[in-house]
Amino acid sequence: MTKPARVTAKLSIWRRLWQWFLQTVGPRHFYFTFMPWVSWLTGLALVLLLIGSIWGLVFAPPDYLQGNSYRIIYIHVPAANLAMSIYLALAVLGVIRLVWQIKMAEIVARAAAPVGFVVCVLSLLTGAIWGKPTWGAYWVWDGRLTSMLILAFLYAGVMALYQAFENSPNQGKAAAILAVVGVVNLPIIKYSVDWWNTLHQGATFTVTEAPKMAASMWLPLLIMILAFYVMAAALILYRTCTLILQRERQSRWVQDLVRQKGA
Amino acid sequence: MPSVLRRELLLKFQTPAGWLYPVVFFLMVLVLFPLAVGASAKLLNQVGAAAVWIAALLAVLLGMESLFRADVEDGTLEQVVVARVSLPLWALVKTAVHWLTGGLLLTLLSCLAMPLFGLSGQETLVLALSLLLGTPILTLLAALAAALTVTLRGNGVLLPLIALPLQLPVLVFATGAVGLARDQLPVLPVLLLLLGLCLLSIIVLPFAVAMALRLALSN
Repeated sequence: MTKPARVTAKLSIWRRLWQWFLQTVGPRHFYFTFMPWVSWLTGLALVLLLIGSIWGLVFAPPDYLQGNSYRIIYIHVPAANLAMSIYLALAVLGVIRLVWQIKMAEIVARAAAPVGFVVCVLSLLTGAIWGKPTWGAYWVWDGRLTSMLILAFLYAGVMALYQAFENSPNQGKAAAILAVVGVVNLPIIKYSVDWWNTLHQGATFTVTEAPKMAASMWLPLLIMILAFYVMAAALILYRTCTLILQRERQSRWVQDLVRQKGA
Repeated sequence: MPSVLRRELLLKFQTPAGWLYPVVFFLMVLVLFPLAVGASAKLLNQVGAAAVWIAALLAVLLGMESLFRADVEDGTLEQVVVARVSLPLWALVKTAVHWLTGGLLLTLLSCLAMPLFGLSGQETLVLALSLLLGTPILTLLAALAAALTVTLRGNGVLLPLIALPLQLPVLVFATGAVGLARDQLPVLPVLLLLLGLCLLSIIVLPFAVAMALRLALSN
């Protein structure tokens, strides 16, 4: 008799945990939890951006081969890195949306997609600007560049699908499916510099090895990468909170909030 | 499943226009290339494989928007779901029949590249093989895009935007294979890679298509 009782008790703990989790990711709770974070994260991002860019653009030593033109790395690498991470996040959020039917995942993904698209385009643009003095061409059709371009197209497709299903009940599921399928492109981008003989250099940072650059060069780069991530987090949270307000505009708490702010 | 196969084949035979147009389109694009590029034999030889592949890519996309349209509108899809037929398998059979009247025909017609672009026999063989392995992937990816956009009004515009980025790697690998053949290098690894991608997409993509179709039903 004891055994089944214990099983049900265990189940109920899990159920309670699940309920708690669902409550936490409910739009209202999400809004009040993360809205205060936005200003903090924005401040932190600004500080990091300032430190990283001044250090990288002014104090870091010039490259022995490329001179000063290499300094665009302090924008190029963080942007490219972030573009891939955000796409991965879109896919993970897509899985969460499809499997556990959590609406919040979709709202965050919808907020994140344009941010990812912009940094993807930014990395392509800075790459082109950097390519001209070092390779002698704005664009070459090598594996890394092409797969990054495909990533930008994928972002465009995901955003178009979010846009297209704006008003139907299962809004973001179609975009979620596309994001999950498109994730096959990420390993292609990541390993394109290893698989093909290309002009593009290999990874700057790896988890297992010490960077081959001087510390005075890679430290500001690390700071810039951090800054980009924090900035993206701030932007995405802010956009998410705005989307929540827009979606829940009929609900009581939003109207109360608006009345409070208006008064 | 045999009944589904029979129904799909019958539908294809009764409406030849629907699948013949993309094929004619494919042939016309093939003819356009030499006209635009000029009659230089060397240049034509170099762009030949790429021209065939781009024409095939566009032709595959062309007939796709109507793949699931009728089934969603006349309730066939609902019948399939209610009848507890495996939806991924149904989607796979439907896409396979579509491929028989599309991708397979394009593969056979790609032999025309030999006289049109002056490709050698070896190159034509590699081109045909790459199309044989590549068009199923293209068709399945386009089917996914078609299923995702089936309930949208103007899905003809959105479908290529979704399908093309996913299809591009196939194009890169396949045309790369023909380039290797032109340089007398071994093409087997690339063809095997295409075969692997083809098998993988046959296994995985029907489930994604089925998921998208269920979504279309619930909207």
